[in-house]
Amino acid sequence: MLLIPCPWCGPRNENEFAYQGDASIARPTNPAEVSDEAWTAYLYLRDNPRGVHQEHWNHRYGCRQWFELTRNTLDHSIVTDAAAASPESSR
Amino acid sequence: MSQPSRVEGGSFIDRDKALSFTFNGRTCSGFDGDTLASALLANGVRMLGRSFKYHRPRGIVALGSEEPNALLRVMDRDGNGWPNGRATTIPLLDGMAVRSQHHWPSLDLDLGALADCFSRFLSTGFYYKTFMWPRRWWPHYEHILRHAAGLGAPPTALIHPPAGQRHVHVDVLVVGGGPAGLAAALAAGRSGASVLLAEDDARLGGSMPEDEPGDAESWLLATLAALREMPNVSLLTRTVATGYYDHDFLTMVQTRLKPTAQSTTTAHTLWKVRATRVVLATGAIERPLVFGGNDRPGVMLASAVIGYLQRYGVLCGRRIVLCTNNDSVYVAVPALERAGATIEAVLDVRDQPSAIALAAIKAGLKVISNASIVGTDGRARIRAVRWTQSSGATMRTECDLLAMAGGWTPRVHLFSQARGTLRYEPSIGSFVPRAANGANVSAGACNGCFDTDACIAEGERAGRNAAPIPGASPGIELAGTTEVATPSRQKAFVDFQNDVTVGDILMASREGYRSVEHLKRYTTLGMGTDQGKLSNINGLAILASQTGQAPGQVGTTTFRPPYIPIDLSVIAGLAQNHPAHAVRRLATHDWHLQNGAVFTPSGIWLRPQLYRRPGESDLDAVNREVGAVRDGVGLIDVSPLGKIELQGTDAAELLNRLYVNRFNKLPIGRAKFGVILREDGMVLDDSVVARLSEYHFVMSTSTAHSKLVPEHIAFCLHTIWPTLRVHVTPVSEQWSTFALAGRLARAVLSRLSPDFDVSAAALPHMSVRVGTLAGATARVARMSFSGELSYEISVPAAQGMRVWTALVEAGAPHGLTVYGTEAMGVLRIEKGHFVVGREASGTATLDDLGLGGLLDRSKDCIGMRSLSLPALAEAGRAQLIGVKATEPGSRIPPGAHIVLDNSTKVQHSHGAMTSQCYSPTLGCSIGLAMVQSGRARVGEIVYAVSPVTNEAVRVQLTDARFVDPAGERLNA
Repeated sequence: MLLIPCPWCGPRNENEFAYQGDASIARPTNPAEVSDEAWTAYLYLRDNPRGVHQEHWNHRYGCRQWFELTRNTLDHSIVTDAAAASPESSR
Repeated sequence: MSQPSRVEGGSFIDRDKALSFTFNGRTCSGFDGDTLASALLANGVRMLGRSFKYHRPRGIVALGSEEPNALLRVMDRDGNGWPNGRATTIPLLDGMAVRSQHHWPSLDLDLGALADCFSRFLSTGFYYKTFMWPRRWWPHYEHILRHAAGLGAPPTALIHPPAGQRHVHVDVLVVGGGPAGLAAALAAGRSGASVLLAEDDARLGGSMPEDEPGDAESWLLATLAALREMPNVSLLTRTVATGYYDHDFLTMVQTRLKPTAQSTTTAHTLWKVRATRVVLATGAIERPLVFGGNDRPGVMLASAVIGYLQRYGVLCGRRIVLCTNNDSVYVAVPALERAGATIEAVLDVRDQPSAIALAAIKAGLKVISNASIVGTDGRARIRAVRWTQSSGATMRTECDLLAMAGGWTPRVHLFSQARGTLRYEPSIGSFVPRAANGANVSAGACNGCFDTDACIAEGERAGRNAAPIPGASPGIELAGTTEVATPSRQKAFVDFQNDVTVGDILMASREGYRSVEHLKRYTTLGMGTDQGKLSNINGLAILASQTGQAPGQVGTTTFRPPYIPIDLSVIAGLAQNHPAHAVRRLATHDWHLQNGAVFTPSGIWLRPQLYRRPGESDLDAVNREVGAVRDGVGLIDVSPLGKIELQGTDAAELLNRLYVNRFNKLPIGRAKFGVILREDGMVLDDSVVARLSEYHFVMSTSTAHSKLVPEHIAFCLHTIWPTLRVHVTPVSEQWSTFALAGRLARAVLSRLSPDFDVSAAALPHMSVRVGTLAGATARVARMSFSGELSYEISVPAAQGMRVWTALVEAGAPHGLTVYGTEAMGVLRIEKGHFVVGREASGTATLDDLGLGGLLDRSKDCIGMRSLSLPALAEAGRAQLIGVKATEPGSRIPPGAHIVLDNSTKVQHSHGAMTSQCYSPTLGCSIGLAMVQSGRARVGEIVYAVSPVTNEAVRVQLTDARFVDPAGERLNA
């Protein structure tokens, strides 16, 4: 049971959160101009890294906000990405 | 009955409170504070069951949760019974009825024991080797094997009172209440930290004798007194830490003695602890020695023999032979002799007597050095041990107890579950912690420290969060390396519970199973309910000696939670008869309760499925409710629909980017149907969006996705469009929403609130008005799910009940009928509406559902790009279509496949039914299906077959809009 530091609610148990995968992948700014290959890569292709991983998490049973955190997939240690989670850039 | 093995002493028991219980129907007695094991031993019971594979007689080996043999069927006086109870950890309760298991017809005469005679045909990998051919016979083999397999019989009812759960946060969690753990708790407590200490025994103190005067006793009493005075320290007994998970989260199972009106029963509490720091002071487990006949009842761990004497005043044997590979048993000899036992001999496998052994010899003890055990005699209880010295002549010594001391294995289970790494320590022949993962520190015997003073010192430092220092030497030899048994005609067991012998391990090794993980799975070594607490180190040492590796190179198998078996009822807790989530009830719940509603779970909601009237079948009720909506007027509570408020200057822009169609030109006061896609182009949800003002919209999403859609929107805003100026607020629970449907709906509303203009001109189809209805602020939207003239009326949830009853009253003169979710489902199937989760199952595109015309390509939206991927545009995709039974009496089976041949034989599926019902409007069975190229096949006669129910029904593919395809009714 990970202890996840929600930027809005503080450290909370993992079972309050939903995980949404790799946060380093950005949506193409103009999808219409993207090739089928590039678009399917954006949709489906994900790395499964051994070590540091940027992730989207949602505090589903809490403040319901999305935020990013950095998790080490080897030992599950967590570093919050303070900039990405700041109130200015987050809704 | 008397207790022949009970002697003086016993710090755990209260001799003033005698308890009565039965074992296999025989009445026995014990004392308050006994475990089942100590009470059975006191009553002279030595044989408690039969072994798993060979059905050999087995007795108690150990003192605590590491016990492999003593698994019993237990029933307390209140009728709570469960299988595979470990006698060594179950507190004795008055009136308990205990039975042995795994034998037929009786414990003494067990036909399964024939397996022992044929054991040379039942070698390692026997199943894999024997039952491979002929392959078609496997079902027969399996039938017989399944009957022989398994341990105990499952309970037929709930076995314990529902377990409670405690969630706690502490600064320091100390696991283990022996010297190291108590010292740690004291030091941590003095620093002001909040401390929780969990001990799995009934008393604190661990191996420290509580009633023997001396330094140890005075330290223990002083420490316990100091701890009990600290308000920041909590002490738990009978509490086993079962799992150590990420970020220092631990689970613990506490057994509580719970008095009831008639008796006492046990109840459990599941603790979930998040600790800032964890001190592991879990102690060590004594290892058995491996020799022929080492599984006979009356062969026990030496530490268990001492423990039963000190804790329970039970002397497990009067004529004792001790066998050892280290010095620890010599310390125990005086206590056994004081209790009245005769030490017949000490068989020491070491070549030369150690200093403490020499002293014992001088004191008159018969010590045989360089001894090896050849075998044991006896049947249900040991009678003699046969041994040799330096491979000389075989000697025989009569005894009624053989106590074995094979060295100590630090209990590193929790440390390893937390993914700490281990190293092999040759001086103790076992593994000790190397590097911790997580905020834990090991102290005492679990860290390889076996001297009491040194354990206290380690614990004290751990409690203060000081760096650990290496423990001092205990001053006696504890090497305890595992001897590979002398060749014996008797089986030498390594794993008692799973009947794994030395021979099995040697054979596996010869066959190439060199990895300890493979060895485990091939031989089942350590795979019993005891998870090899006694056997793993011995097993890997034997493997190491065979493969010429050091035990450290062989390594251990992975330690996984739980440390002990946990009843599923403990995990389920109070949720055993209820959903684990909170149940949402409608604001009008009580009205439905009083009016014949049959409730059904719908997501987390509890909703009326239908309303029964006297003499009606459920189908009659649904048909009546559907008929009322089609011919008159019906009312249903649809509050679980998702409701989301969008406010802000960019609200319309957000909708344009989310939906396949446009919302920026939607006039104020009008509503529009829209579809949201996932980024991969599949339909996520359908909604009606109403515009209340320039910058204020309300989305009404499907019930199923009332949580998912707001999450999807928030994700898009957070990751893609962080600059849009819009607030998104889910308000599903804040509003009660009722659907009033049928040609008389307008009349009912006018009667309820004559001032609220609901004329066709003022409130046309797909429009919304805010006003006052029955004294409540209401949003009335004219939209339809049923295909009839219909209004969705939303009022603040607090006023839901009042408005509902007012609607029912206003509708009474018009014959208003309240309907449930079943009738609602029939109405929507008749109208051909898809729902998410059925037709829109996550693999259907907009076009598959027949809504391709909704797509506005003049703008981008989530999922738009994916629609031009070849796979989503190719011909032959499954399309939404209606299905109608051609014979009025036949019923389309749920989940049926659409095929061309009138049989249930294997054939190509052209699609599958997604919804089906009996339509009272059409008078036959109808449904919706996703069928390959379905829209081009209207009129085709096919078959709906279900291999599950073995039904094949002749059906015709039709337009999905069975009722009023032109939409004249809802526009009335």
